Amino acid sequence: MTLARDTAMKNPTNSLKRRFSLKFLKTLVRIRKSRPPPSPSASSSWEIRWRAQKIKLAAYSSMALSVGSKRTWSRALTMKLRATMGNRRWSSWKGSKKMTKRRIVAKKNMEKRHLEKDMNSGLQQLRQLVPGGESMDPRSLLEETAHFVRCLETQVRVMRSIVEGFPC
Amino acid sequence: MENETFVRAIQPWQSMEIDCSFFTPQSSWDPSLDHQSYGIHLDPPPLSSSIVSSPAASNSNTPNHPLLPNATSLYVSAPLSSSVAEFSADPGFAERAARFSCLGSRSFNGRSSHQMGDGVTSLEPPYGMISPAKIPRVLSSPSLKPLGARQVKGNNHLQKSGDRAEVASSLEESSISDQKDNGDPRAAAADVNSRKRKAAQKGKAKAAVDKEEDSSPKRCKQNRGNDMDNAEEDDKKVKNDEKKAAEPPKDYIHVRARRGQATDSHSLAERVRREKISERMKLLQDLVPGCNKVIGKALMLDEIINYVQSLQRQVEFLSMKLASVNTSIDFNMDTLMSSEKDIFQSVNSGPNPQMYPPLDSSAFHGQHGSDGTSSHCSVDPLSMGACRSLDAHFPDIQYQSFCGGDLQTIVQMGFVQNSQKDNSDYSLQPLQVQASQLKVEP
Repeated sequence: MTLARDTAMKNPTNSLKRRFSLKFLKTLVRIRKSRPPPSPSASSSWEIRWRAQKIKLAAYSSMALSVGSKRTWSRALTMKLRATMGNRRWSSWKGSKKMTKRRIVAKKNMEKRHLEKDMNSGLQQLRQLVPGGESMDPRSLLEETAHFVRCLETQVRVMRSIVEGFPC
Repeated sequence: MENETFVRAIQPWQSMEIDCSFFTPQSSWDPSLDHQSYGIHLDPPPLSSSIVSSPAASNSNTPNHPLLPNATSLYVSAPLSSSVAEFSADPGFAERAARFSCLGSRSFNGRSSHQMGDGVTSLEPPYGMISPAKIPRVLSSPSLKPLGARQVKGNNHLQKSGDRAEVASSLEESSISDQKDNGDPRAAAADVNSRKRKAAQKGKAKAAVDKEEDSSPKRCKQNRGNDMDNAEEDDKKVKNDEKKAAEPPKDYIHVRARRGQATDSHSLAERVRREKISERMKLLQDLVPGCNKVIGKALMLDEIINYVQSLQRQVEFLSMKLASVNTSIDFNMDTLMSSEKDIFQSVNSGPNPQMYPPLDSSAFHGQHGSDGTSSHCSVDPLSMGACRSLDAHFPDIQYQSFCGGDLQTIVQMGFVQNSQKDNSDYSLQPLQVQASQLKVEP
């Protein structure tokens, strides 16, 4: 893999920011217009938390959609989100078969390799953090992490800029 | 309650520094972050592996890591490569043994200082750069063995210090603690090496001559250039790169065993894997702030994990904040979205700066009359808010680089709003000027 390709695959570009911003703003509009389901508590804090949850999901889903299927983590995240939203067409069972096979292969490779314990535990933690990281070999896991970190940074930047615009 | 959660969320990762980094010039960064480019701003090219400079990096002459200090190190190493060539023809064993010992200890020093996958630690270049204390120990007869090994394996171009670690482990048990490589393959490879060394000492002279040629039947890897990030390793790498460039490309991935290393297929594969991992770790190191100071794969991983967790926490915190803002504000996003869409299309099609003011004026015309001072009643808070935050930092070039087209439009809208904030009539003139500025920059 040439380094040019590495950097290209690793770096989300400005277009990603643009796409993410657009999608995120659209979702925000929808969320703002929506009303929380009636609940016994009906407190404003609960409503805020509910909204926050939806906004967080919206942020992650819009980021995953902006990235598309180019990245393993985006695919995994998309599948997971669709599953949580109840869309059975994209339910995770379809992908989990492939993932199981890859997971087995990855585990075998892991056993063969004599990784340090620290590194193993660190990788394990990383697998839990990065969506879809359970079945990846360390190298691609690190690559996915790099891209994921960049996308997260983009997300944080856009959200922060939106939030800071609002007068408190 | 919410404020407390917000504060708690902020503290863990010095998110203020990150925040500042978005909007302030680089000079005002937290010193721990100053050498990091998040891909946020337009760094001067030598530093960044950022988004903006990634095309430049891919087009750059350095065939390896985007960090441009490598380029300088490449040039620095050029004169050393000639000395390497001369050295290879030198029949003085003692001299070579001395140099080898220097190289050996040097490689260990290099490895101890650069834990992150020094797969390509070169051993030849740093002559006389090591602690002389190590030389006497190595100058005994065993020193010839690794020398012979190096000569023999010159064909295979053994370069990695991992195998040399095996050699040196027999000589010095000290500085291998930083070696995180495999223990078992190393021992096996050491036996292999010793056998090969004894057999090959006869063909030393010939090997020295043939070192440059790729006559090894083993598969040899060609891609070592990616790991060049240490000045002391670069001259060796330059030589390798030249050799690799001269060789014809093969069908399968060639793994070239480096000097002093096992040529066992397993260890070769291990080395390849390790190098790839270290390559990725280096990329991550650029992304995560403050990772340059951390040395060691495990610590780096911890830093990365912390960073990812902090980013996720920030997203959560920001979403909570947005939610609170959403509920407290009633605004109409439709006009904003429609106007933004128009502006997006216009941006994509290479817009005329003069297009913006009319759009903005139409978008905000209805909001002017409602409230000029307080912004959050009936004007569009999203655009307002974004604009207000953005236009304060608008002159900052780096901000603009990560703005993207959409935020750019928000910024332009914000200027309209900003001028209204003082309850004065906004003029299209400054907006046009700023729009043209925006157009110039990207």
